[in-house]
Amino acid sequence: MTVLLVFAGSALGAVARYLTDRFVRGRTRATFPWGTLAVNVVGSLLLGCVAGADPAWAASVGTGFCGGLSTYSTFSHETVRLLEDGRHGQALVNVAANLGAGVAAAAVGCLLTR
Amino acid sequence: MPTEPGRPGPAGGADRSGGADPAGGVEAAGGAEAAGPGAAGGAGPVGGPAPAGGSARVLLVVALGGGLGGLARYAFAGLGTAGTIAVNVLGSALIGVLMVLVPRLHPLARPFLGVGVLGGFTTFSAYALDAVRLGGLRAAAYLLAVVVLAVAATALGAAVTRRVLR
Repeated sequence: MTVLLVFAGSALGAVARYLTDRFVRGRTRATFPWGTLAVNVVGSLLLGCVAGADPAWAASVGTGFCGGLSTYSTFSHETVRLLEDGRHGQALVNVAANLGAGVAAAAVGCLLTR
Repeated sequence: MPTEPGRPGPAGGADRSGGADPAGGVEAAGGAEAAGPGAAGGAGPVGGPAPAGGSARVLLVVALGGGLGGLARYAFAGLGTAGTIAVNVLGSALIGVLMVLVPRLHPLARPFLGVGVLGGFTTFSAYALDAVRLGGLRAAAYLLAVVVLAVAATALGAAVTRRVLR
């Protein structure tokens, strides 16, 4: 049962991440990866909110949806891409923004639902 | 509504009616992008993979890949923070390999393997929550160590793959 919840949540999260990224790319010409920042911050906030929830919620929403929505591989790839393109400042801002806003969002989520 | 060149239809809006998207368009868009990875800003990465349009077929492979990636990550769940480090560094190394290979692969490889499997396998939210639980200097050290390892793993994965292919 838990396995099904994780699968379904991750699948839904991945689709939401893909559509968010397409939506953002369709509306900005910026090279900065705003879409990934958005899903990582929202995913972290939501995970903070369900961190203390019962096992079914933690599995479907936490492990599943939040894990599928947020991504480290794309964040890492985009950072390397910015570095390779010589946009070192943007790469640094990307790392600082994801880490800063992501951790703050997770902390806010925990506080909201404590 | 602004549209991006090389992409069929406005983003978002087209997704819902995506089923009507001719498959040919998807393949063409994917192929065009695969031919020139790293070209423009649109050559986005795997998360932003937007190789293909928002057709039902692409959404389906993203969902399937995401579900499988999430299950693979779940296998590491018992390891706690060590598991988060493992999936994120391993997934970051593999994205480096994949993005070099993508131009040689099927147009659906990027949405399936990149956006789906690796996107679902790695997680930023668990990483952020780990940091909140660690707190203080340990959190700072953890955040920095993982990001340095992951970025280095992606660069190394790409470099090794380019060398092997040469």
